[in-house]
Amino acid sequence: MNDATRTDVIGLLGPLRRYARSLTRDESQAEDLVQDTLVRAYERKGSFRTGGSLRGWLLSILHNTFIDHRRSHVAEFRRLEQVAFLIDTAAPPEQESRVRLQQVQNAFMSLPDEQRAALHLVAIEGLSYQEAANALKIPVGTLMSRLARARAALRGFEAGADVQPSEARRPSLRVVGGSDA
Amino acid sequence: MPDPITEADLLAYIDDQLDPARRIEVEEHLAHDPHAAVRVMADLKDRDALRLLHAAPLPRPAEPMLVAADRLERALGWQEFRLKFRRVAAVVALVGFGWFAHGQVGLGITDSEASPKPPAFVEDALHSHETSLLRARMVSQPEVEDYDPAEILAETGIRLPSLPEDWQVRDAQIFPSRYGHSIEIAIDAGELGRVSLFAAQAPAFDVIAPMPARFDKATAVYWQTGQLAYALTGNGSDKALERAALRLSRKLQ
Repeated sequence: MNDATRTDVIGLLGPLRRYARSLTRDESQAEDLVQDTLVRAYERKGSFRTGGSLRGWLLSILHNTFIDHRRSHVAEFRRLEQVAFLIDTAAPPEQESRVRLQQVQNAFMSLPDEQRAALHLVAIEGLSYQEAANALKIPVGTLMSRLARARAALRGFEAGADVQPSEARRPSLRVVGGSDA
Repeated sequence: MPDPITEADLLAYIDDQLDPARRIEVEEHLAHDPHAAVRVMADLKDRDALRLLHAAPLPRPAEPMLVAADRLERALGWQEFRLKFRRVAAVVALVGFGWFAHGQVGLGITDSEASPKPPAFVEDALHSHETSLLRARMVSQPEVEDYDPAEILAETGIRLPSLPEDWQVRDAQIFPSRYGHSIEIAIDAGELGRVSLFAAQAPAFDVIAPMPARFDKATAVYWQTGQLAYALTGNGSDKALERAALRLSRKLQ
């Protein structure tokens, strides 16, 4: 039954919750964000085009909801800025690689919001550039430059150990296709 | 020479957004550029690390979230169903309208199998058609080839259509009928052979698009416009007769 899968919201809770965690960097806030997203999506259900991507539509609403939340809770988020919350890995392999994984996670969580969102949608969620750009409501070129900067920051973070990625050396990567806000 | 590999290509390579041909070109490039290869491998490693980190199964969602998700899912499903239903309904309406228009305007010829019992005047038309055939055979019955629709209209109140140019009027007779006068025009209608155009006052106002009624010896295609009923009767091809009746009925509108 194709119809059943096309409006399968329950099946998309995983991607939504993961994206919310990456955005908020806080488990309970992430759950609240998903809850608000579902309510908002219900209110705007008329804006969903049949045949369109339900995942893209919901991810986009979640992102907008996050932006709105952030505007109203700037102070709270500033406090959380220091927190790099840890997600339990599926099966922690050896101690050493676990530490390395944790470093990547910390670096990821300390990326600026826009870069983290772009990287999450493309690298973790596996969206195409176009889908991710649509969900973030930005041009593809902007998305790619955010990705490039996020990647450079991750590399710089590992190379420079404790150096804050925002202060890390400017990546040698040339910004591609369009400027970033 | 392949297109030069750009930073965008390297980025798209890491994110699996390239087609296989371009992937190979990128890999070719990386094989000759250890610097870029190191960077790409680092990015691939980070990507995989992030995927692994986020692949951990999440705890079961809280009940309110499931309720909200279920509500949204139902709403979207219902919305989709309604949209589909509306499309189906639109198609049904169009088909229905076509059916209606077909019957009313006579876009095509109604199938006689489905046609209702013809009104009484059709029987009159059939009889007068047979009478006219009889008159045509009888030498002692002179036929009147003068056909003056204006005079007929003035005297009887029956309006007759103008006839196709290749139709020859062979006889025109006025008969008494159930609700006033009736006119019977015998015509040599080219390929249709000898046909009769019958017109009479009808008992009740009605609009009937041309409908065929088949009888043993002849077919009558009848229609009604307001107070006047018409029938074109002949022994030739049914379809041709129906088409001719359709043309005549349109001239009366």
